[in-house]
Amino acid sequence: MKMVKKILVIDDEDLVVEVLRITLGMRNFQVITAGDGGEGIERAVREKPDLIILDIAMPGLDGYQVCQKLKENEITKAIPIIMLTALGQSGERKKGYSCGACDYIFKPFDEEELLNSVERALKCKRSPYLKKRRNANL
Amino acid sequence: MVEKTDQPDVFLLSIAYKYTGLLAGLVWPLILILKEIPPGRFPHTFSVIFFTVIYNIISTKMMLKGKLLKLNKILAGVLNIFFVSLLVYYTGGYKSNLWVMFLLPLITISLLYTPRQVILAASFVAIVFCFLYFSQAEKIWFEDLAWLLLKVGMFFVISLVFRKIVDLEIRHRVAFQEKSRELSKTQYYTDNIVKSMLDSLIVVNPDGKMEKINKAALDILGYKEKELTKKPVTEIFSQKDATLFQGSQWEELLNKGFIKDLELTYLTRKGEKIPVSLTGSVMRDEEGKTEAVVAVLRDMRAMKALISGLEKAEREVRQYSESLERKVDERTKEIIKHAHEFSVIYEISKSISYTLDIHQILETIMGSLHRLIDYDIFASLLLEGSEGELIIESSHSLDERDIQMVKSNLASAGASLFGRTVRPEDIRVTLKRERSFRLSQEFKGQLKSFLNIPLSIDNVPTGIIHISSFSRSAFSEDDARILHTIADQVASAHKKLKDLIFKEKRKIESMVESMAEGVIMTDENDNLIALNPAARKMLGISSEGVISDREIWIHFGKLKLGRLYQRLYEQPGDDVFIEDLDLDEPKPISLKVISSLVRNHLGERLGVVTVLRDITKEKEVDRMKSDFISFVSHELRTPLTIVKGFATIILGEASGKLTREQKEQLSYISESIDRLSRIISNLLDISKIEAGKLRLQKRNIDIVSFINKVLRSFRLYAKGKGIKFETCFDSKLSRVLADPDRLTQVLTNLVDNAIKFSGKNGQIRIEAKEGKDAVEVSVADSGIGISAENFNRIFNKFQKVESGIRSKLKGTGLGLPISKEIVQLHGGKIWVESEIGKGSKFTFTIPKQWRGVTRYENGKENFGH
Repeated sequence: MKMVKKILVIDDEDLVVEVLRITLGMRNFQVITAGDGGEGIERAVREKPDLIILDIAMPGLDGYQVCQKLKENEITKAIPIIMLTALGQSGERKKGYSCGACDYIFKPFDEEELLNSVERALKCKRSPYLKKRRNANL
Repeated sequence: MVEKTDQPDVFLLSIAYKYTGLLAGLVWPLILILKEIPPGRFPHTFSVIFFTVIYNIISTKMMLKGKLLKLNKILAGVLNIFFVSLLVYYTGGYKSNLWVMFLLPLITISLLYTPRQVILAASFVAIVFCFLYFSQAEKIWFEDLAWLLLKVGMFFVISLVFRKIVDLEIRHRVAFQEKSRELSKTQYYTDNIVKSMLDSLIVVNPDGKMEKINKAALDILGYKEKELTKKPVTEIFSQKDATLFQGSQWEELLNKGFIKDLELTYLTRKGEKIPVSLTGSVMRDEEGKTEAVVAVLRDMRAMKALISGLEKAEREVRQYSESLERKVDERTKEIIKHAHEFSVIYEISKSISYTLDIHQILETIMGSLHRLIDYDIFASLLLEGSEGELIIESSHSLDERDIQMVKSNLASAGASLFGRTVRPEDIRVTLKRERSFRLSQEFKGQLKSFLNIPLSIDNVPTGIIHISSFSRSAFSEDDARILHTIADQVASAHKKLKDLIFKEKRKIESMVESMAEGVIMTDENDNLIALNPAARKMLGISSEGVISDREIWIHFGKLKLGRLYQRLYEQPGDDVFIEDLDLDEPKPISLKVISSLVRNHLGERLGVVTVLRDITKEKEVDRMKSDFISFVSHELRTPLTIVKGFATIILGEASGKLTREQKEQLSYISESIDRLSRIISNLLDISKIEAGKLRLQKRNIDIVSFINKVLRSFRLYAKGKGIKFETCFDSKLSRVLADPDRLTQVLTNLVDNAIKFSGKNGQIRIEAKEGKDAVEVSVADSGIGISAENFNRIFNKFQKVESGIRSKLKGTGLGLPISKEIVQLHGGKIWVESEIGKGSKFTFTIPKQWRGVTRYENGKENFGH
């Protein structure tokens, strides 16, 4: 039996969370949600999801900070993270990758695009970036 | 041959006639004798006689001129007379006489012309004979024919033989004639030379009689030619010269053969005496016998006058040149002296032009003056109020007495020159040794000469320049003049420089003070030279009162400005430093700090100029702009995400079944959101492009899978409009180096446009071709098309083609300008081919993987970076 994958969606926009919940739910993913960065980290630590979809622009802790914290945490550091951004600037993409995200989705996203990205992210448990970073630290 | 000579015809005819005459004289009587005609008298005999005699007279006369042929001529004459006698004796009225006479001119002609012409003549003769024969009453065929042949043959042979003879003679004659012509030419020249000679020419025979006297001689003597010809030559010379032409002296001259430049005196008809110079030579014939003496006499009157004139002129020139030389010497010495003075004065004034320090100026003067004036002591007294500073320079040690003397001398000079009393005890004395001065021979004694020159600067008596010597009367007026000149130079140079510096300083000061930018200037020792009000305000330094440099530097240190200076000094070769500086105190301010090292013409560091520009507002605007962009992106995109998300969810029938209509309407919502999203992206991109902030993240891309991916995203949209995609890729396509997101944008824009303008059930063809350096991608639609004049406009920002249909269609008009920018940033090109009503084809190129953007920089288009 195939395990049902658990995806954590962190976004302050309830409706965006709702869209993701329904869309992913329809594809047999278990979706859990968090309304801000702090809550997101908390749930990630507690629930240990297979994937985290993380919005960048949030009040309080922003997406980068959340990403960084998750990657610093032993429990959550191996969880792949997809960043969700409304900005779409190349610089931000770089910034996201540098703090450990493995993919990017731009708002507004296609269903197809989202699912492709999710599938890819689940396949690579550890982002190539992390390996690189580890090597650099050695 | 005959015709090769250019002899006159008359001459040739004379020769021809001579021989034809001989021939006639030979043939004619011979025939008569052979025919046994009895002697008798016939009328035509006279003509023969006349012809022969007249001819002989003429030809003999002609021939006698040439001695060479004399013998030949006589022989011919004798033979002629003999033949003519025979002819006279035998002449009778026989018919053959007629044709003999007739032949004469023909033979004459034949002698003058070529053998061919001779043959012609012979043929003619033969015809004549034939005619004569047939006109005869009785015809004896055989005999007559033999005669005829004999006659013609004889004519022919005789003609040729005589021709040869004539040729020979002509050649001789021609040679002779040429020689005689040459002689006559020489004669002619000689005559003319003699005639045109300006000198007298007298030919004297050995007896001392004059043979020939030329015109020049006759003119000078005043005689006519016949009066002197054959007269003794002594007649035309003075008494004392007559001996030359008599006795032993004359004999000696004849033996010697020539005489040269003998001075004689003419005695003219009027008794006038004219000095002449005689040059003569003795003419001898072939046997050496004296024929004559040719004497050339030159009138020496003009020459004598000329010589005496020349002598006089030479004397004068010599005198003049001597005096001139003297003058030049004097002047040269003077000029050299002046030049030297000027060079030294120039040197002094040049070096004092750079300094305002009076001590330095005096030092310069001391360094150079001794090259102009000899002195033992140079002293300068500088007046400062009632005190004075005396600097004494000398090449040797001075005793107290000398110093006191200079001091009191200068003190009293000061009193008399400026009317100011300086007590000797108020004068400070500095002694310097200067070895380059000369050493006066009498230096042990007292100072005997001195010279004081006042030095005024800005019309203020500043000091006295003093030189003195141990020699008596050591200084001349000139020395005083030089010293005065130098003092004047010092004064004027000093004033000019001061004025100039003052003016420049004021100019710069007022400029700096009024500048809106902050200006900080420091000198080479980091002392603050300028700190304008703007800078004070920016850095929060009180504009009231003076603050010390130390305080300023401490302040700078607090503001991290000191660090900038540090860097400027530490980085050699980098004289300008630009940095942004954010200050929190006294109020938050952003500054652009531009510091540059100031160097003089020698490259020495003179200080630092720092310009501060307040860029707070610019930064604020910049930040506001980014904030706005973020706001727009975020605030617009988030609701879009929600709308799109739910539309998709509903479309996926997660919340219940939908009718076909509902589905269609929902898909419109989804599409519109996509379009809206693209518009937002485009707006952001344009602002990024304008700010030069668009950066590419290039990767290697497989163009085929890339295109397919983009087309997949249009699948639904296209399906909705009934549009079909057709792709055509080259079998082998290189990978390209491009930013995948940006390239997606370009292709999306093109495909989106193609769908938009294709109308229902259109077809879109996407091609990818391998080019030389790049891969070429084209998107062709079957839409409304674009007119040629709009080809460029559609790539310009906010331009939309104003064609009827198109203007109704939606779009920001930014897609193509952005695509163009992106393609050019990649180093590619984009263009359109289109025809109204038939569709458009947009093509762009993307360089292959191994190519960089740089290669395109020299191309026609400037792609920008």
